[in-house]
Amino acid sequence: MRDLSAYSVDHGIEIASPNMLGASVKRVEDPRLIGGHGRYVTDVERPGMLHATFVRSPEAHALIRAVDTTAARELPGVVAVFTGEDLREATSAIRADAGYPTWQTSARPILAVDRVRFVGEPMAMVVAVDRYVAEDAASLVMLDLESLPPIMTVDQGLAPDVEPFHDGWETGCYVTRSKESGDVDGLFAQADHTLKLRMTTQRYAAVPMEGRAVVAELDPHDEVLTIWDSTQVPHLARTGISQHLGHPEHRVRIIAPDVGGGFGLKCMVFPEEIAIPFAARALRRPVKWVEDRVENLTASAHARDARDDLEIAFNDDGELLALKAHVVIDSGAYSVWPYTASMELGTAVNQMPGPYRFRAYRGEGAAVATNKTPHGPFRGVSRVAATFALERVVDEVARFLDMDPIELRKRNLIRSDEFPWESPGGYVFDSGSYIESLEKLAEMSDVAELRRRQRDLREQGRYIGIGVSCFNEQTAHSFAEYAERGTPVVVGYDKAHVRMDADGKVTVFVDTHAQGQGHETSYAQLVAAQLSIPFEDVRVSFGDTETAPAGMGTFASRSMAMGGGSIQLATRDLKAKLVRLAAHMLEASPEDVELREGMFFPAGAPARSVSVREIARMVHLQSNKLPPGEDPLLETSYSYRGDPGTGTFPNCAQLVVVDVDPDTGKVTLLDYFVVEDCGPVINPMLVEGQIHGGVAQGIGGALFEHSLYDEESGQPLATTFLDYLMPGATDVPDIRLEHLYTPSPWTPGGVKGAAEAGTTGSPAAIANAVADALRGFGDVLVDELPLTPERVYAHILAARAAQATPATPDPR
Amino acid sequence: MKPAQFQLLQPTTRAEALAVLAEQPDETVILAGGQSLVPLMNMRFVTAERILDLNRVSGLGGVEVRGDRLVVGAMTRHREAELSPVVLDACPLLAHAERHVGYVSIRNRGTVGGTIAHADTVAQVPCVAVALDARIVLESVRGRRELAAGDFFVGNLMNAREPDEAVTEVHFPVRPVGSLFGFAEFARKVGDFPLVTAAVRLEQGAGLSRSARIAVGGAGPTPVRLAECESALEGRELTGALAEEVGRLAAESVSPADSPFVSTDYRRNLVRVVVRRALEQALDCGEELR
Repeated sequence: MRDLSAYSVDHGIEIASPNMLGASVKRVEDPRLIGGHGRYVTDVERPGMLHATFVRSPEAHALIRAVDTTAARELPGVVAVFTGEDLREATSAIRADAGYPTWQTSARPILAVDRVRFVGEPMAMVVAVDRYVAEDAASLVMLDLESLPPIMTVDQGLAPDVEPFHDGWETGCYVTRSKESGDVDGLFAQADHTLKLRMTTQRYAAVPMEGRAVVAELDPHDEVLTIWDSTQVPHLARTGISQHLGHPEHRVRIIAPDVGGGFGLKCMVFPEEIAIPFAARALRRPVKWVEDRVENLTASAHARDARDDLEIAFNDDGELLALKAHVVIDSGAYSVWPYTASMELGTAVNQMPGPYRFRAYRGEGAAVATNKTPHGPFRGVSRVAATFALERVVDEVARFLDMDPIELRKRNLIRSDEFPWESPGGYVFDSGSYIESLEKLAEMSDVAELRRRQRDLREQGRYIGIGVSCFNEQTAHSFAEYAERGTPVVVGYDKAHVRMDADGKVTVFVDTHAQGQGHETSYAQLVAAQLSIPFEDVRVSFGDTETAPAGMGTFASRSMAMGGGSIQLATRDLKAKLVRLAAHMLEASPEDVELREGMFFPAGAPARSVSVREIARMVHLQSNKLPPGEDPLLETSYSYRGDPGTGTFPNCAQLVVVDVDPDTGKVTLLDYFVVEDCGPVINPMLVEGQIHGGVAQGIGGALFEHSLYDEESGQPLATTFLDYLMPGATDVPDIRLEHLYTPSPWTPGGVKGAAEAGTTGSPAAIANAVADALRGFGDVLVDELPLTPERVYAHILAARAAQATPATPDPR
Repeated sequence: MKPAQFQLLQPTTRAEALAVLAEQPDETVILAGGQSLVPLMNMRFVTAERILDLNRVSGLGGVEVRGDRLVVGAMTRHREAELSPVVLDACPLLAHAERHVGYVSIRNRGTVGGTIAHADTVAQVPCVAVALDARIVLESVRGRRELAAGDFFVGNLMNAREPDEAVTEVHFPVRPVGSLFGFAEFARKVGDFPLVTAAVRLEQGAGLSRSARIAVGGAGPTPVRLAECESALEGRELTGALAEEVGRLAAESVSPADSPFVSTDYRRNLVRVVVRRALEQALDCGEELR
């Protein structure tokens, strides 16, 4: 058992300007970004800069006989061509190992040697005077490959006689996981019913608007490698690049300027991020590489790709008793640094019981190696697929029992007075409003009216469906999560440094970078709220390891709790010093000093005051006036760790109304409702933007996006936006959104992560809505994403032909 | 994703352009709006030593009615063909189909001649051209000739143009008074490439259909007229039931290829649906005329 005696943590933060919190302050970054003045890695130009391109494997699985670069080197304008052999000594292969006993390692050379394992794997790097010449030369690099049969399905990878995928492998899996809690078999034996269903979530990808991009330059005077990198994690990137390049961290500087979207893709360290600095160091000239869209869709990372077999035990009255989950993840060709190929599987196994009061749970599964692009983090890691699987199963239970799906859920959700809740998956849920969210959702969407409308439209030949999903999710993970995984980097803290200058204005240095989240705005609100200074007097700085404190960076919805937490605590400490100095100047005791609108007053004597600015001026410019024991320093640092628990758990409920075209199977979203609870909200406009964007990304996963492969040849088939369909403005309906504000008992200000809820719940809600609409045609089981028109039409045909396999529980 | 090296040729007169093309016809690719060509060049699916840019050539754009033909200059932008009152009056089916071409920003650049020459089987304007038996005007230093649209499209992304010829005009027949028309497509997203298209036009006498023209795109390597469907309409009153019947007939008369993202059977079903919907639109415009 965990020690949860510290259920409520008092961080000693006092808010002097409460109107700064919960305020939709306009984003200070927008004039720059919307006005076209953002600066991205692509905009970086250095004197004498060269341009690189990569020669990538055209085969899914092959032995490398030779890479002949002779013709490429001879092309005018080509400066160098590097192969795997050239980098073998100077760099180390990427190994990202998890600590589980069943773990099998993978070594990924920066450029392939001996063998290639997916289409798009970098094999050679051409450096030339411009990208055009580089690509001309790339086409002259001759690859001599001996084709091998690829592993293209998890079933092939799970076969007992599978060839070793990586050196020394005994099975086809990176790792297997299992965990069990409670009397699973007993509850299954005594349950009125059980139901077993397989749910499949397709492989798709993060696809940020800006792809990956790297510029590297070596300063010959001090051997400092400066790397402009489109990353979410400047310091992790520095560690990863330094380690694999053999260049000490104090001589590596990462600058992540404006980053055009990340969604998890850019919180990893990729071979290209090591190869480009390698070239810059070897050639002693700046080198630039900007990923193109084909590379982005085939050679960065993919995500999801989960096959979930769920078995649920339940009673006639709708009580859910126990759950069994067998999760199989198609993890692709290599383990990604630093999260490892255990990430999706491990989190799925932990997460699967969701927000329900299961009395017992058995989760197990495997992460299977295949000759596909490596699997990496993407907004809603594992929860998107797990929520789809579980929420579909819960809906099928409701259908079997002929219960209202919302009522069935409410009956089984953890109640708000039951926290902290130790989930059978191993998480500690800190707080939540699971039932209240569903109730609010039902109210705001007027479900009864929607059902009435559905019946009316059915009479007019239209097939409307109403679908609900509800879930909680781990955000701002504490050390416990990564320690369990045994990953190379145990994530669980972040840092901030707060500095007040002589004019009383503040600069906040923080590591949690922004790729659209608006941290320059929301972080400034946190500081202004405590110090009671104008919002404009706070500037937020991040994205340069030369100035930002070392931390973990932005992912897993951790920025507000972890980065924001450290900012709040550093500000608290700065304010404590201001209070002491104010007390000295006012000749009062610190306990009697009050702060309002940037002015300190002795309690009960508002005529006397000293401003924040006057204190700052004294500290910096007239430090001779400081009282004994006080340094001439107005800077504080704080490293916040998210203990206790396993992170913060926001919750969310979504309801969507769809129209299914009976002729084509095309799904149109008519209405969308969201109730989210990420605790107290710093800037509602930013949270709403997160939900809107997240839902849009979920719609992509539910209906459009699919990183499809040809299973014979191993070739990726969705290599451009011609075949990889992204949702656009016309595909996203108006989203009606309401908030609940249940604080986390642990984080400063009670905040929780807000960035993933939109994405996590929408494929589940949409799938449930489509399933609901399809009931108008007959018995049909919606069990696989994406819900393309063709797939939905196949369901319609099957239902009409009464050939569908109904989700019939075993009779008892 | 950068194009291979090419020489950019930018003549300003029609004669000059044709002369430039005649110099090295096999090594020259013609650039119109660039909405299909430029991505293909960037991915090096198309490489050419010479790019002949028609954007500065005067007199290749614009629409006008000459006799019973609507003459559309090859460099007429989709957006102009969509919004022009001349097109709307003379060939509303074309104007209607143009609304489905990509997004507005694509229609602002892409051209009518470009989409004809590109000969993508799912493109909207070629489907209309085949349905209406439009004439494609080809010019070279050797002279000028016309091809029927049905003869011009010879395969997906393949046309009957000789290497030294340029598409300079597309002639659509002016709509017979009282004729009915419809255009329907199925695309997975608004503005995305359709999977299939259908264009129909028919005339009516005493409430009965005659001279029906039906073409579908995306169901084979080129847009095709569906003769059986056309005769099924002849002399019958167009109704919702007949539209469904003709849609089914259309589905039976095509053999679309299988693809990783769309199966033959599903595409065939879509042909049924778009033909029916195009006919339903025709029915609706018949209602309006009454």
